[in-house]
Amino acid sequence: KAKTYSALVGIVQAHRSNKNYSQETLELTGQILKKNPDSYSLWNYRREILISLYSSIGLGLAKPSTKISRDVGAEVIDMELSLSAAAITKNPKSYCGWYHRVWVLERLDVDIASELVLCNKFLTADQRNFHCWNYRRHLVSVGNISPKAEFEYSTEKICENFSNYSAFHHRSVYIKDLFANEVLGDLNNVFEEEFSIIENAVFTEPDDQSAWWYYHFLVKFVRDRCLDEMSLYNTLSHQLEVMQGLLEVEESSKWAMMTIIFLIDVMESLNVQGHDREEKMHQRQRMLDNLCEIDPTHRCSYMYRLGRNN
Amino acid sequence: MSSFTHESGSSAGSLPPFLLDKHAAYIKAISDDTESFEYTVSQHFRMSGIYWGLTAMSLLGKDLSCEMDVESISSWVMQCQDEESGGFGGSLNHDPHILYTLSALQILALCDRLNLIDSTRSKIASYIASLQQADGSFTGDCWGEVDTRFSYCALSSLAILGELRTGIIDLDKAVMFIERCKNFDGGFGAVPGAESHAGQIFCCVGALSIAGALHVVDADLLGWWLSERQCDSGGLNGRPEKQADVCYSWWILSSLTIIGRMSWIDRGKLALFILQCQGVDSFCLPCKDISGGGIADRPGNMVDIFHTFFGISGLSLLDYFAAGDWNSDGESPVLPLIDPTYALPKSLVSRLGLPAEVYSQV
Repeated sequence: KAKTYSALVGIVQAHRSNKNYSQETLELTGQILKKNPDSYSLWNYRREILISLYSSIGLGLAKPSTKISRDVGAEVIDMELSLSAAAITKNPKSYCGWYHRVWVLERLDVDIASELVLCNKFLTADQRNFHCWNYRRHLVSVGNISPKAEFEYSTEKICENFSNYSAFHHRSVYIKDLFANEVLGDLNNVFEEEFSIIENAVFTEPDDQSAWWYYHFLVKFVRDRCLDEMSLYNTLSHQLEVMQGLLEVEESSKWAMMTIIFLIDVMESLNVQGHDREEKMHQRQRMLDNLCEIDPTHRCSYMYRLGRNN
Repeated sequence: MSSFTHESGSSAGSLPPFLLDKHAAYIKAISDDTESFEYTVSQHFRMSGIYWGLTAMSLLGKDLSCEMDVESISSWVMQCQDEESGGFGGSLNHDPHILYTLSALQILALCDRLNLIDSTRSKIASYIASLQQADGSFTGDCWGEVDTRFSYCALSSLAILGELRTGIIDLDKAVMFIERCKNFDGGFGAVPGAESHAGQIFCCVGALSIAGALHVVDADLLGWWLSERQCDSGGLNGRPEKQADVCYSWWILSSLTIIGRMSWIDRGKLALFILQCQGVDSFCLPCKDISGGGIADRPGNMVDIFHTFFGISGLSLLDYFAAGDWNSDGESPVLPLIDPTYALPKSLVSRLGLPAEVYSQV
């Protein structure tokens, strides 16, 4: 097995030394890459052959410039995307396999919609495949895909599975600009919408980190953009009640405990006179003590981050 | 070792022994294997494989000039240098790439043969500089893929070449690009907008350490996120809801060390996990039989050189071998320490005068 593979590689290497950029060699590289999609030099050689072959018929593939249309580039598009698909099917985490799509996209007029279908397929197979998520975001930036649509895609993925950290991350990427461009309504709307998803997630799967990390980000996001501190204080008061409610049901939820401390701290940082500050401080201390007790592994982190006088 | 059982407070009992001699034998045997299919299809990154093996051997306290064939390794490395660009490929007849350029420089440094690149030093530096883009990022090679892994490789390589601050690259822009890769959770991804991942985080934090720009990191937030990678098994995962894997012991521990928050994970539990990942079974290579040794990604799985390197590095960073009493059966030599920024023995980093910003441990 090793010997046949090595022999094939040897032939192709010899061709390359002889600056052979023929159709036959192109096919040979395809054969090897299907077996070993991570042999990066072979992808390079393949691209050299393509550049040479197509320049002889007037198509410039060397640099990305005006995109070559499907009328003339159909064969290249289909062949290369198909080889890439075979590579990433064999190894869904193949850097080379995914990058080849980017290379093709930069030079030829590829159908973005079908690329999204490919992404959907790979994300259904592995919702955490960051190569695919990165490629998807690349499509959004170069294609005419609305960030709002992506935001909605992340909602869909989160609702399918609250444990989808990658989908929450995707959401965090688009929320800033969408809010700045006033696509999501005002800050209250944003908070309500986002929180309803998070609340659902943390009550259903309180041990799952994903929604919690996003929640901490969301509160900071809102706090940083907030113009009405009184209103935010009230919102966070309500949030505190919700989290306290969760803790009653899930007595050993470290995330609920951490979040209660976090909310108390954010409320403290606002320019609002709270009426039950002393009680809150007592609760904060209780939470911290409980945290260190149920999660001694992270004791040093809790004491340093949360134990100082903020 | 006793300091570990006390620290964790866990009822771990006695830790499994660290199989130093078996690991050394495994690394040597793997280095000699040139017949298996696994070897053949992994050719394209052999340069990195050799770096992993050599560093691991150093960390086991072995003298490379005695235990490994440094002459033939060094001359093999030089044969992988591309004459035109000065960069190095993953193996013979492979194209130059920043990943393998770094590995090549690391190998030559470990073998004390950096003199072999004296005549091409500035050419290599120019090659690396040619990969920097207008936004400060680095491509892996002339074909254009951008990734923060390449930023790390570029800065580390230039530091070894002594060209980090000569103006050959725009260091400020390089830092700015990394900053754009910072995420909502304090972590870093491959490109702006990419999900936080322990491997990418190491590359970004390492690059920032080399550039003296750790201020870019929200140390408390990132430290917290990294500390939450520790699973019940004691091992570390690379992202939330993923399985623990020994390689993350390195990427997370080194990042935590650089930002001064190593105490935020349970060191005893991690040490136990790594020790449980050691290979105890025998297996066959075409040329040689292996009787145990090596480290796997998780307990019970097949060992490989990649995880062997990261497991040993992890234990080194944990200071596991410092106390000199880690081997209950016999000798416990004090083993060399690894540098968290450069992933090379500290003594070598010191000798080369490589710059790194590291926070004191909180």
